[in-house]
Amino acid sequence: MKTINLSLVLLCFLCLKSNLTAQTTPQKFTVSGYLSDASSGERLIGATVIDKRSGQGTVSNTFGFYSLTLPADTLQLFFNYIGYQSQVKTITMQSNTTLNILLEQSALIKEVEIVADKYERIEERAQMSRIDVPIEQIKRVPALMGETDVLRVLQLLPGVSGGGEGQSGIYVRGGGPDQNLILLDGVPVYNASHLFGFFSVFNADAIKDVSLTKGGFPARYGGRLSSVIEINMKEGNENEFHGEGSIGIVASKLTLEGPIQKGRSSFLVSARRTYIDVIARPIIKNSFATDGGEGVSGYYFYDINAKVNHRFSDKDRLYLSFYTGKDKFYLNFSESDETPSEKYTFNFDTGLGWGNLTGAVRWNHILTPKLFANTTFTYSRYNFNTRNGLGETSELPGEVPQRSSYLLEYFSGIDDIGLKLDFDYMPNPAHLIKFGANTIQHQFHPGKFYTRVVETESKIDVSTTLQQPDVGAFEFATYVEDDWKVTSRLRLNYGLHFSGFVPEGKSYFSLQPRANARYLFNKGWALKGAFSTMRQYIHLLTNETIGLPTDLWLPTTSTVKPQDSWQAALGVAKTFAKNYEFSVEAYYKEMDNVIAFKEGASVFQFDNWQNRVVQGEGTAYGFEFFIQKKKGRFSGWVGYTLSWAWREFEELNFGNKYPYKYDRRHDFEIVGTYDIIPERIRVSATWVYATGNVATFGTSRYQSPEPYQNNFSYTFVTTHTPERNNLRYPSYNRLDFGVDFIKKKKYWTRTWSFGGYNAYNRNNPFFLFLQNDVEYVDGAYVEKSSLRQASLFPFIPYVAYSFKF
Amino acid sequence: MLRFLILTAYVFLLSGCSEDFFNQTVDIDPPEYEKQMVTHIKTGIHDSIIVMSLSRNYGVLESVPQNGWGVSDAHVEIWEGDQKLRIFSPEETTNYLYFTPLTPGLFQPGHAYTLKISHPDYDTVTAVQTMPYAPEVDSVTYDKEGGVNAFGEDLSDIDVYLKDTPGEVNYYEIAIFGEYIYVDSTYDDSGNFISVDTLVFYSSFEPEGSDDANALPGYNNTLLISDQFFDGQTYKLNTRIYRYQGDPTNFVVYVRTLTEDYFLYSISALRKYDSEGIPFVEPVSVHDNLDKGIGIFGLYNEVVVRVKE
Repeated sequence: MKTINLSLVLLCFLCLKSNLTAQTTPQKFTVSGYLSDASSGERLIGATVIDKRSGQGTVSNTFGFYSLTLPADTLQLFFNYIGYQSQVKTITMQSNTTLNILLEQSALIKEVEIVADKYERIEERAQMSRIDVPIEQIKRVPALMGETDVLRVLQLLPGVSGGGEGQSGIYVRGGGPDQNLILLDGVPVYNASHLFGFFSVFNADAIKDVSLTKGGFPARYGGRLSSVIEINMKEGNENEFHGEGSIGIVASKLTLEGPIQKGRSSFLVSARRTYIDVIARPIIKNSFATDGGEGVSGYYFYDINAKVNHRFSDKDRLYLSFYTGKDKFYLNFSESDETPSEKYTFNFDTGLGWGNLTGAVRWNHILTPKLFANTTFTYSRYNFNTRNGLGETSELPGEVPQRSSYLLEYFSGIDDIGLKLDFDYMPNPAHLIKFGANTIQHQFHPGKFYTRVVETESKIDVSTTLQQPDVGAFEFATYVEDDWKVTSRLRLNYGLHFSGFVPEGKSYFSLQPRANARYLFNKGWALKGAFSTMRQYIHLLTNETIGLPTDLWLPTTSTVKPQDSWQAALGVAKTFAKNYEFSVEAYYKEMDNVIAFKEGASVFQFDNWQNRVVQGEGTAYGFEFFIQKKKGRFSGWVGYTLSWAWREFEELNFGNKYPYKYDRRHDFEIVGTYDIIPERIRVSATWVYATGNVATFGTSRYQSPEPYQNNFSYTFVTTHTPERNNLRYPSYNRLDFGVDFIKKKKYWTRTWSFGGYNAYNRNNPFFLFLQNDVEYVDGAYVEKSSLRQASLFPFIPYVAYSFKF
Repeated sequence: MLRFLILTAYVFLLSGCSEDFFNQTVDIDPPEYEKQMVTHIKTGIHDSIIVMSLSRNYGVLESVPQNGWGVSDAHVEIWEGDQKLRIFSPEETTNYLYFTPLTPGLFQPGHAYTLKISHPDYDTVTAVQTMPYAPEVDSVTYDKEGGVNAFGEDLSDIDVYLKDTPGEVNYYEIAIFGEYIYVDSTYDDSGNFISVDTLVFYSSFEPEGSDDANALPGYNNTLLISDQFFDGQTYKLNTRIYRYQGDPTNFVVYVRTLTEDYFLYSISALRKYDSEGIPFVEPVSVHDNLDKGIGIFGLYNEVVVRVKE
């Protein structure tokens, strides 16, 4: 309770401090309201509002709300947002004023200046290690098989690596895949991958905004050690009906949006589905028929995003958002053999399925012109199931058919129900105070087996359920943070995050201080520093090679401790020539109680998971260089990361420190798009280079006594592995390119997109394996072994057709 | 221009579909390794002979010649301080085994022994081990009616009570053998057909019924235990074994104290063996304690307790 009191004391201190400031200055009034797109009504996040006379300003929050408290005077307010015509409003402040602003999109600059000044300039923000990636830019980056992928674009940022070839996983600053908090409209998404990790679950057409925070975490964030990825869905056009869609190699998608009640409420529905299963179905059926049976096999995934929002009054707005996505693999096969004496039928049925379901209800309420409240109720569910069944039926003339069948099913998953209260308090232009609390009730389903054996002849019908008990846990957090413009040069973002976790029979609590500071030098150079501590209460048991859906989220327990980290970062930032954002950051991160499988353990074991894991320490440090051009016909970025990532477990690698699987010394990426003819032809390219991942590989072979025998008569040949992750894969590099042909028709706009992944067909490493061949040499068979590197994707071209109306 | 680009894209699409295009494997160089001798010795204080295997390692891509594993011409010695205790002799029928007789009292608890293996083609291998003190076995109990397992099978129950020495890290191994008289027929030296009663030990029973998560399976169906959860206390190890018809009712319980190296090697070597060739299994590093070599020099002390129904 002492720690809770600390948070309250800090909040009181912040409020008192801002009020004391107010008492010593002339009377002040507040101008507040929403910034929205004039045509769609879509709220504008991060738009700037500046009083040109005093130079004081603010930015709109996640819901487009702004509040600026200034002395009673005539204000000249400047509202600015990229791609929109700026507005200047002159008002005389004699009382609190509500001023909702509709900004018109600028047709002239809309297509060529895609992101300029959409967000605060990098040197303005106190927070470091945060990158906002405009969805427009994400959509322009060439994509694997033409399928725009949000997480794959985030991999192109410094400090982020993507794991294996083609995978959409995210590894941030030496952290593990479970250390990223991925929020879709504020709801955690547990498994963000489709198709065994090759695509992420986020449909870019339904997304409005993406941001990545990899360090310097403000106090409002918690629950994961390494990053926060916030993805906000579009709200839907509240004035006109619009739509967009595409037809690609992998999937097609359609998004529709429009008003429900013009100017007050709107909807958005977006759906995406793959269709290789539908196209290939006749071929597969024929194939089974050729083999004398009947059957079908296929794989698909789909996503559905939906959102509705309604403005009840100038002070109240409600958002309902929903996402569901599913992957499914299936194989059904049967064959019959009929003779005069017997009809025999055999059937086989197997399948895998996994998916997420999330829902959120968000209520915005303006309590006072200075105090904005958002209440969110969330639900998130991830489940995985597999099914294997086979059966035989024998029919003899004149007798009752006899059937035997065997069925095995497995289920696992996690359910979360959460409630969040977030407040933005803007007492004056120098302070933006955020505070709030949240709770999550987790329900973990570590695994359930169901088997059923039926044999009609012997009248057996036995079903068995083996289940690791479900585990419930209650997680809560409260926070307070202040973004404080101390002087025109010094700006701070500091706060406290207090969290707790109550699994069965145990309680954990953590107080996490956070601080970011920026000092602005002459000529626009900003020196930034950050320190943050984080705690994570849930763990992911995963195979790190590929994105298997068997990934299992599990809680901290009385024996498995929560993960902790602290991270410090220091850097400089500056915007050059209005267009080029430049930053260099150095960071150091230490992690405690990171989780790993024991030696010899596997994700496919189904015993008590706590006996299969060990906990240890992780260390990561490095430098990140980032330069980004946001304006003009040419835009893009160059990123470079020099980094080290280590793990140390008492029970692994003889207790010695070893490089983390995704330790990469160098990571270099170039992303560029260019409008050859604005609004007609656009080209884009990305090039990436990365040091190879590491793997554990035996360096030599030797003969060893068999462990289960008590003498030396039985031996086997095994490999000597002097240390873990001792082999560095060859480096990775790849060029992707794309070209878009855009044509405006009378009622709609269509785009043909062509491009390719891995343009120069490099054999990038996916995994290594030993290949043993036998050759006939000089009259004798000779065993010849080779170490081979398997690659996954050669050059893969794509074509896609998209439309917008 | 547009048609040209579409045509180019179409060619790209077709080129991506050729079979060779997906043959994405290339040879790469294996990691470097050091040529070393490989040895395995595990010796008890009451053993009458020390047997040791000695072989060599090869690179993962190297071909191994016929009978190429063994190293038969090495010089192997055991020392206590500056006193040479034993020289090993090569075993004649193999090219990888060495032995030396072990007389009672040669090894003493608390004394350190050094293994030295020299060969002109390799760096000299050394390892040092201290003979552990004998375990303090408080009692061993046997209950034929030990309950049933998850599959409804009858089990016998053997409980071993150990007194652990406080303040030091101890490692134990427990093996349970059943003994019974096996009546066999044979011919005596005069060619007469006779019956012979032979004392036969069941090889150790799999103690699958052990409830102790601290007890790990060891070599030859033994149990390996560290005292990390019961330092200085009396520890009860409950083992349950299958009960077959006609099973013996006399059991021999071997309780051993192991050196730490022997314990760690045993666990890791078993994990390695069990995970060979299985995909998605976490890699296993086998513990060793040889300087300039691969393998294990392990010592154990032992107490033998006989129990019967």
